[in-house]
Amino acid sequence: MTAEATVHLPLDLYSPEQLSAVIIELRGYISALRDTAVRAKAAHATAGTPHASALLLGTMHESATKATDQADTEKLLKQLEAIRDKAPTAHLLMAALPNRELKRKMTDWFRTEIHPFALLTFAVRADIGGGFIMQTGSHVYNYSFREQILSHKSRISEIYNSVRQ
Amino acid sequence: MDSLQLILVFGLLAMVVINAFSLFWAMKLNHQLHERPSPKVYEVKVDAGKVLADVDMSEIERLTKQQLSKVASEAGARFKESLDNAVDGLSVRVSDLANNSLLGEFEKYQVSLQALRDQSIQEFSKLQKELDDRRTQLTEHLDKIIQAEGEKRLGSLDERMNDVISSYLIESLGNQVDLGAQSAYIFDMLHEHKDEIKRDILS
Repeated sequence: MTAEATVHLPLDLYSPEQLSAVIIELRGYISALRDTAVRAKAAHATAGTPHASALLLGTMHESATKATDQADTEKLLKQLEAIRDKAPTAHLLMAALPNRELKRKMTDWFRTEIHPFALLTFAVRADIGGGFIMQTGSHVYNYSFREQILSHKSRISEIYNSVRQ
Repeated sequence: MDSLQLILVFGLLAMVVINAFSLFWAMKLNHQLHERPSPKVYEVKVDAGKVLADVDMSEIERLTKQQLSKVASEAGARFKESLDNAVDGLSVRVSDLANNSLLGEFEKYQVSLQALRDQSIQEFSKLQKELDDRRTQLTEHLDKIIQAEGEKRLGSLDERMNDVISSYLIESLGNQVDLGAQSAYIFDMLHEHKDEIKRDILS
């Protein structure tokens, strides 16, 4: 079993940038956790929990990582770094930026159907009309409305003729 | 010199002597003919009016006229008879010619004319058929050209119309994006091409 096998990324963490940000934050979090533990030990007090973003907390929650356990968090850090290096990424161009719900749905679909650590990037290109253009590696899948309309232009006259008759 | 040559020489000399004698005799006869006296010509003129009397003259004129009239009538009758015979013969001849020669020729002419007519009809029929075929070919060719041109123009019009409509649709869609309404299409496309995406994204 690989190191990252027990990790489950939250649906809100969908992009490589977010993953990098979470990793950076987790490093800081671990450092803060270590400092807090040292100070608490010196002061003979109970160690507090450093501040963490909702995304990091969600990641720790999905991965069943105890936020106060330094070993667990360090393990999670290693797992996330391994995922960052290996996770497949799909770049999506859409006519408008999708809302959170749609992003979650699409992330869920990719992680269910394609790969459990699949990451997505979203960009806007208004002239495609709708649908999406997806680039994965060297391949581009164009399922935009613009492409569909332009590649089936002959259907317009066929439909017009059938309606006219 | 043998005896034959001797005989020939004597014969030759004899002939020379005979010829010389003949020439001499002819010249003598010619001289006698020129010396003969020419016959005398007597000119006699007779005046008929003085020889015959007036009564005789009138009788002679009457008889002459009578004889002349008789001869003329006989000549006329003979000429008429000859002419009638000639006309009858000519008529028979023409009739025969018409019945035999001309009719045959006419039949031949008719046969030839009929053959010519048949040939002409055949030629004209052939020409007419060629013209019809050519006209049919030209008509078909023209129909094809017209049809091709029509299809080309219709295709061009359709293409232009498609460009206009698709441009309009794209322009319209660009201003009215509803990703929520498109999510079904998006996930349908993803499901439809899941295997390709998976294969490509994991490679």
